Amino acid sequence: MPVIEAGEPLPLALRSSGGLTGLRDYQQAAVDALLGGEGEAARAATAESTAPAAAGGSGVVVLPCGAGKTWVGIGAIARLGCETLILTPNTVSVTQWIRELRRATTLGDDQIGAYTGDRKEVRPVTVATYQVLSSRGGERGTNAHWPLFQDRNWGLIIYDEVHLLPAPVFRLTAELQATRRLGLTATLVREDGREGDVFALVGPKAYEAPWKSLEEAGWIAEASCSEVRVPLEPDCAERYADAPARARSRIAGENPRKAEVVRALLARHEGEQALVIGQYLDQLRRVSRELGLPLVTGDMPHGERQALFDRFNRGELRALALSKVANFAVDLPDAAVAVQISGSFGSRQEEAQRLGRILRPKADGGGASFYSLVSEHTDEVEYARRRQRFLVQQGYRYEVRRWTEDGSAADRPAAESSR
Amino acid sequence: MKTRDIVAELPKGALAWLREGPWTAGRLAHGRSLAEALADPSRAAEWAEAAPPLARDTLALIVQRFGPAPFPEEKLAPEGGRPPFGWTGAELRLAVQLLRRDGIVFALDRPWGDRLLLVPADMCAVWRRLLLPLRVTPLPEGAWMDSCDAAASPLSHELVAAWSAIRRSGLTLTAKGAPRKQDAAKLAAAMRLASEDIPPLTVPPAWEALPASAVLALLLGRSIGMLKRRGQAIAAEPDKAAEAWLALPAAEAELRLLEQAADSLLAAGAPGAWLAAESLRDLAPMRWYLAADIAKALPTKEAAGAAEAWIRFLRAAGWMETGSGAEGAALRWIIEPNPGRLMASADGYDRYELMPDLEAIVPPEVPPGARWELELLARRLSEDVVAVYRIDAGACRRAQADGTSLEQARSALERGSGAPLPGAVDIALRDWFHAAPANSAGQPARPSETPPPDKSPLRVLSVERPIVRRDESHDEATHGDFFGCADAAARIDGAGPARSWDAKAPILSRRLYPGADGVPPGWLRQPAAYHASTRKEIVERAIGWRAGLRLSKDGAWIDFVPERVVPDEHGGWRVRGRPFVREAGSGKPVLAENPVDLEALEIGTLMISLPEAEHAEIYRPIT
Repeated sequence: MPVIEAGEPLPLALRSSGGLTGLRDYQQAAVDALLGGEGEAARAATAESTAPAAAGGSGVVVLPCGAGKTWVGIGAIARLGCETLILTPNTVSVTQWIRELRRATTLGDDQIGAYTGDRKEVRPVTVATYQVLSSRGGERGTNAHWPLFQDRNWGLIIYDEVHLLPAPVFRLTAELQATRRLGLTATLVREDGREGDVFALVGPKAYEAPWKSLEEAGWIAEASCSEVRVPLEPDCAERYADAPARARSRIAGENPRKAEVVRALLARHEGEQALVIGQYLDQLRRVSRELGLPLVTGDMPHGERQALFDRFNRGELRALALSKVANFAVDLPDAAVAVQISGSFGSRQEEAQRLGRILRPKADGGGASFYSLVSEHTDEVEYARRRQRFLVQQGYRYEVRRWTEDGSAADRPAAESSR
Repeated sequence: MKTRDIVAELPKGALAWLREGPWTAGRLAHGRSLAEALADPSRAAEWAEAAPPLARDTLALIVQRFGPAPFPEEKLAPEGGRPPFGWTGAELRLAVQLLRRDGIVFALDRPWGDRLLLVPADMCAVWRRLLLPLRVTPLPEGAWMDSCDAAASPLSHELVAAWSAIRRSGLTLTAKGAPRKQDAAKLAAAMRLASEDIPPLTVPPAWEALPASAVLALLLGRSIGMLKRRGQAIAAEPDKAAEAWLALPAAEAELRLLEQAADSLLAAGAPGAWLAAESLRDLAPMRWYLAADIAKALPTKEAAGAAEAWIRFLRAAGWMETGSGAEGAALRWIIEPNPGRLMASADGYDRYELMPDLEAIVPPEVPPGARWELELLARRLSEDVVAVYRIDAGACRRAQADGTSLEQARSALERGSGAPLPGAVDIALRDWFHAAPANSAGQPARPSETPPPDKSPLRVLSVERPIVRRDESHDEATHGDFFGCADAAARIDGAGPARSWDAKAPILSRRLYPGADGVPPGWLRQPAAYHASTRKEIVERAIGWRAGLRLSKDGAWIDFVPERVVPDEHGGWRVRGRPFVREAGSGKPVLAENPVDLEALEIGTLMISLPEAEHAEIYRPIT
């Protein structure tokens, strides 16, 4: 069995005051499943001797969106008490991790660092983006940042949204051989069929909590899912029919009639905070303009984005339009309605991630509503069917409804039964 | 050929004496047909219990030597008067007549004079079980085996998938009547079986270069009735027999497929292989047996030699598992190979589970008919012990184009899953069966009209428990049609065309032996002393009839089977043959292992022992 290095010790503890109650039972179970009885023993060993700690402690934890995977990571750090490198998909996630680490642990600001395009802080707990690790630019095209990580005695590497783990990043971090690895994800599905690579690269699945189980226990909001089939206007239908196959999905996705559906749904959910999520920026800009919704996109400066999120979280904004940034860790806990107006083909992971944006338990105990708008009699119907597959397997049922010509009976179902 | 087929061809004269046979007449009451009576396994069991040992031993010999293959009577004759069979040639000849009288053996006259005998194929297996059971003790329950090697799923699953592929796209034939090489290669690539695991197949020359697994799928498809030739293509159009097979529970369907595979693969003229294959079916399923024990227990060396290749096929077909343990190589059935031991399927396990995500989880107990219907509407994602399918837009649209309606599709899935459809599945079917993207006016296309129900491949399969009848597929014209050349039928059938069944009633008297009425009665009645030349004539007559002699030598009586007269160096003669004694009870001759010579002068009184005179009264059923 390979010897796992314990890493540089890092004393820390979880805070249990100021409204924090420690890990939930399933989060604790996830940490236990990953580390077993390790942690206390490892710290004692490393404190008292130079002998290496027990082997083991690598794997993947799968929890629904909104279930607090971050806390599982923080729990693992606290249990192992070692220097940790956390890798995330984007700077928004970096910000969220750092915020949670400060809030939940006894680590000081000087012990937590962000390593992104804008900031270069290598500290005992460092949160970096996948991109910065896979960027080249050093001598002979090597990664310029790599030596900084290699020189540090990490005891744990956490891969947030591990299903996105690009192979080049793993190849690099694999050189840190004697380090435990923890992968966190809500959706271990990949459209290229390479889910199994994650297990090979990070470790076996150590823990998984079915979405519906956590919903029943109240840890994530109860969500209703609907697919609304929106007809194409005649001119749009004609363009769709005449277009080559690769252009059709965009025509269907950008169906102008979807805007009126969004308006009707927002009206229906008056008083609830809503997200309108889409694939196509032109469409989002149009919807944003027509409905007066602030728009958040990936190329918006981070500060500007965060400002809008903060206003939404304070209740100053009732609805936001979001581009693909909504696919990733975006912390908008009070969002209770999501209207997906277009998506990337048949991506099951994207569908689940978008539902995940509204699954935080609500203060009033209310549920969440997810709508997927799909242009009727187009390829979007089949893409939607594929996209929904992961959630259907998790036990979610989609009510399929047809947007009527006069828009007056959005409740009329398309079929006798629901999905 | 099967009993029913033979009876259908028999001339009236033969039917008359068959109906009157002592083992038949009493069974024709209540409208029962002759074929039904002759093919009744319970009749066979009673006959095996009560028939005279001579007839039983002769039948066992025929089954052991020839199996269901037709054989010239002359090939049987040399067994007479020799160990281990024992009975004299004359007794053997009489036994054949008894077997004909009892409708167990049938005789074919060939135009060029030779005569063939045969035991109907359907009854040959029954006789084998009764007369030549394989007696092997299994290893203790819980015996541990290493290196277990078994296919995850049985052959029927592979075949249903292969035939479904043919249903989807047909199989074009070349001008020579064989599938195109690339199509056959594609069919073979999709099958798990490797060519080296399949026994040699009997096919026309144009088919010989094709991959064996593809040919097997086609041959078995024809045998079962799933495939037929349509002009220059092969189409998947189940006939009544195939529909009956599809409606069977999984275990029985697999067993019938095993029987068809044996019929198709164990060519006429290879009884060692047939005997091995049939004998193995006596082994209990899910019990390990040592291969060495089986080889010892098989009735003939040929069967022991042929068993290995057949076992390799059975393993590749997912019907047997092999392994090795402390005592050596072992094997076990993982399906039930014996129809008498089939049990009813456990309720509920013979349905697949249809999930809201459009996947169908198909456990091994799901019958072939449900898979066949599912393959029309779904794509197989994986095949292991449990198969996984996904209801597929492309498949459903193709099904619709071929005449399946939404209602038929829904019914088929509800039938196969035993439950109402999940909502998502219902919606998907409605989407796909109402097909058509929006037209330029932005309106959906009109739903397709429901085609006539009898055009759909999803018309309801028979729910009765039918007998799988092979009449249609054994029709010679169909045979020839499938392979595209008429003489293929002869090669495959073994019996060939131009046959006429012997309508003459069996002869159960001395008239069976040519010239018996012309010899002095005393030769046949009691031993007497004769002149040396007469003695020689008597001996030669016995040799001609393959009969035994009862003679005195040095004051003692000897029963003796003469084989030939040998001149001696003094100008006289001696007779070479085997002395024997009769076993108490059965009367079976126990012959000397090696022949001996009797000098002519040593022979005192003698007579010819013709069996009819001795045993006539006991050749009837005990009533």
